Amino acid sequence: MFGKANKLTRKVTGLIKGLWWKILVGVWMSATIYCAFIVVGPAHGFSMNGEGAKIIFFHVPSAWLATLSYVVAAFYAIQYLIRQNIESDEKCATSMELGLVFGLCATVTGSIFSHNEWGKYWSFDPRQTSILVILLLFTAYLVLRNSITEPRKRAIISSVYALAALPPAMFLIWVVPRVVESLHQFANQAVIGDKLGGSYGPVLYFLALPAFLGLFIWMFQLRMQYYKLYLLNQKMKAEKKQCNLK
Amino acid sequence: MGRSNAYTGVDMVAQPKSSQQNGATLPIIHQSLLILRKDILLELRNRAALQAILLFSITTLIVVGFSAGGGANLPPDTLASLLWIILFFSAFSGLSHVFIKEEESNTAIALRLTSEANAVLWGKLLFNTLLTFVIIMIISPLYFILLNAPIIQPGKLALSLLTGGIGLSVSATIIAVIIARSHGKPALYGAIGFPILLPMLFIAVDATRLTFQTYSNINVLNRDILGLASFDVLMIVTAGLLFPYVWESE
Repeated sequence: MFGKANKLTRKVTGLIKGLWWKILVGVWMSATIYCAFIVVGPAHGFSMNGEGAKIIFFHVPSAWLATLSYVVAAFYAIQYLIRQNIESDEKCATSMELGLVFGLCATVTGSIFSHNEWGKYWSFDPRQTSILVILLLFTAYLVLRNSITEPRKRAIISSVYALAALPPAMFLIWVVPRVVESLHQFANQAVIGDKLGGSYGPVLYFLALPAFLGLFIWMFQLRMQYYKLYLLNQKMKAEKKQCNLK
Repeated sequence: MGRSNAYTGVDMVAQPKSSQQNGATLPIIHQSLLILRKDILLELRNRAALQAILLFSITTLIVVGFSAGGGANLPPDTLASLLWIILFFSAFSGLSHVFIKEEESNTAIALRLTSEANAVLWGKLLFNTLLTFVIIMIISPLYFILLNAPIIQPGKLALSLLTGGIGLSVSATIIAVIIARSHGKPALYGAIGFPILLPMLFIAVDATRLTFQTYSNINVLNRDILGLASFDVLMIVTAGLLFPYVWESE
């Protein structure tokens, strides 16, 4: 009994592993918010006296992470198919869930920006359509995965679905917005071409993107730790049942 | 082909495992053609999939034609998107049948024993593509007649329907095996297939729309058809890589 409790304490202390970089993520995120609202000035030619441009510090990293999480999910899906270890599948699902969260953030911030600049929340712009379909993909994956209860079967089916949806998803993310003309291209050129004013680029690339990336990794780890605790709980329940039977 | 073959439909698929071990395996193309023949024979016997799809598509066609006011001149955008909506939903009402049938009648295990995974995929893919073409050849002329579609470039229209139809059947086949192996959640079939097919549907609608217009940009049309063809190749390769994992699971 005591040994079991000891094991549990070790698991709990394991939770705070890597505390230093988590504090760093907090500092980085605070710096991003501080810079976004106070340090960086208004950009010329945007709504609300140029303050409307500041949403890119939160919109661009969210959109970027939504894309990244699909790539990560596909990576773990391939890993599952090669190694057949159930943890890879759980990582794939975690990544998909985070992708849904960040994708929703990107969609909401994007449509607020669209309303301020172009007068409409939603105009079926190619970029908007593609993020909508990506969100549908994340949801479809999670619905399919939740509909199967048997772990092995669930892992294989959902990994294969994630990979079958990979070519269309990549096509939507990288090809469609570049081929079809859209309003978003002007916004993109403003960011890439640095038309927003000097401090926008550095704050976006050196503060906002790393902070959001750190947040993503942290959330990913938390979700995986939850999964491990869940497994531990299941195991302890099974052991308890066995003890009772004896 | 003996009388017993007509009832089981299994023993004509390929040679049994024992002869495979003796080195007398049929080549994959031969195996897949046998599977195609088996599926066509089974389909001709009760016509379940074909009838379901045709009934569904003709019903939607009539609804669309009726609500569009019977021979009203719709703009090319609407014409093209309605055509592809009908084709998408009719395809997804019946193309899953090809794998669900095997699971329902418990013949999937026999198929798995007698033939290689890729042969099964190609056989089923050929069957579904054939079925899709039959549906397109029945539905699209009716659609053009009922809705007074102005066909400016018939050749390009046929090409866009051909490439789009292949993409539709390939995606439907890989989703069908996923659904069949997850032990029958047919309600999810359309919902899961839709996000995968949407990019292809965008291009297909764009290509079909351009063939209805008098002054359309021929370069954009060619680019769309090329895009559809490359989507087909991409999905065929993806299906070939992923199919064995689902098919041979547990």
